Amino acid sequence: MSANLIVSAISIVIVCVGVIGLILKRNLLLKLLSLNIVNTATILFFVLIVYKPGDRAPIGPVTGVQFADPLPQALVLTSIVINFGVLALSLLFTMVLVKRYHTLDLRKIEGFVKREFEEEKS
Amino acid sequence: MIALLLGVGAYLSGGILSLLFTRHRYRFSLLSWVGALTGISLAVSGFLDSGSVVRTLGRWGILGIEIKIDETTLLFAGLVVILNFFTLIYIRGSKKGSFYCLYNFLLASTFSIAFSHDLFNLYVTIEFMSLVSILLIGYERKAYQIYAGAKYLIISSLAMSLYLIGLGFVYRVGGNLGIRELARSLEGIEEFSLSLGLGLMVAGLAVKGGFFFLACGFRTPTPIALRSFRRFCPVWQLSPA
Repeated sequence: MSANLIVSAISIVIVCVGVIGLILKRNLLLKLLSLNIVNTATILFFVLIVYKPGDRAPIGPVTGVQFADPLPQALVLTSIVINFGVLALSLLFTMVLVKRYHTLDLRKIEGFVKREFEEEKS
Repeated sequence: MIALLLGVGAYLSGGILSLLFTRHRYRFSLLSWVGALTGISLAVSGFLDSGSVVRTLGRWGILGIEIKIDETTLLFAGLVVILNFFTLIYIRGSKKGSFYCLYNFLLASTFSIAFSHDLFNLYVTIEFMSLVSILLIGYERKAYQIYAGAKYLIISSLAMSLYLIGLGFVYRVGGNLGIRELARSLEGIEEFSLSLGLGLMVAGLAVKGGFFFLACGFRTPTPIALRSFRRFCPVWQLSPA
């Protein structure tokens, strides 16, 4: 079994760990941390799965060398930027909720939100 | 191609202008609708002349972004323009703040999804669309809207991770992300990793659309702000341990 395959399998395990954290944790900040683990492991997996041994980075006028495809590199860079945007936005939402309810517990936040909505409705 | 760029450009410039000149934001939204209507009309006339077209943006051959104009894409883009018209009539300038900017950006991303024929481009536009729509959910800054936005943001981000893993498998087998090139290279291939990749991509889009049993630990997510969405979505009914 190649080292590449082993690390790919490990990255899938990390994705699973992140998903479990995302499902089981009640703390909103821990949920975001788990989400970040999932996203990072996904990027690691993508990089490993498209890696071809012997390919070189397309830098400089070198002839007779197999260059790596720039498409997955562009995709991974875009994905990192998108994940950063998602994390920033979710932290902003968390900040607003914590400022308002002084807790990170999702059950408590949900209870407050529900009550507030019903009051506004009536 | 010019027609497509005109449509997307009209919505994007409408969004930016409505952010800069707040007094005339409704007029800019109307103008962007006119621009998109012109774009779709040009695209329809081009389609009637020369049939369906697949083009690649840039001068990178198969590495460029594929764009397709056919009956389905025109129908979808036409629906976007028609719905935009009725929405503009319905709101009649009643919305304030950054609503028009976000609304035009949402339409620009929807318009570009309609013409996209590339899995990479689809990933980027879907993410952009979801970010803008989440900002639109919470633009009035009410607590229940922000809570609903945060929940959907987390679940949709997880969904796009599944999509990205599937995309890795598909790229590994097909060697490209343009749908036309992929269709050529994957013809006759029956590999487990390809089926797994496509399955993960569909699962990711299903989770993003809400058609999947996954609640991410939210007890009753989106209970309030997305009631209509919840009807189609068994996800929200689940409760964790």
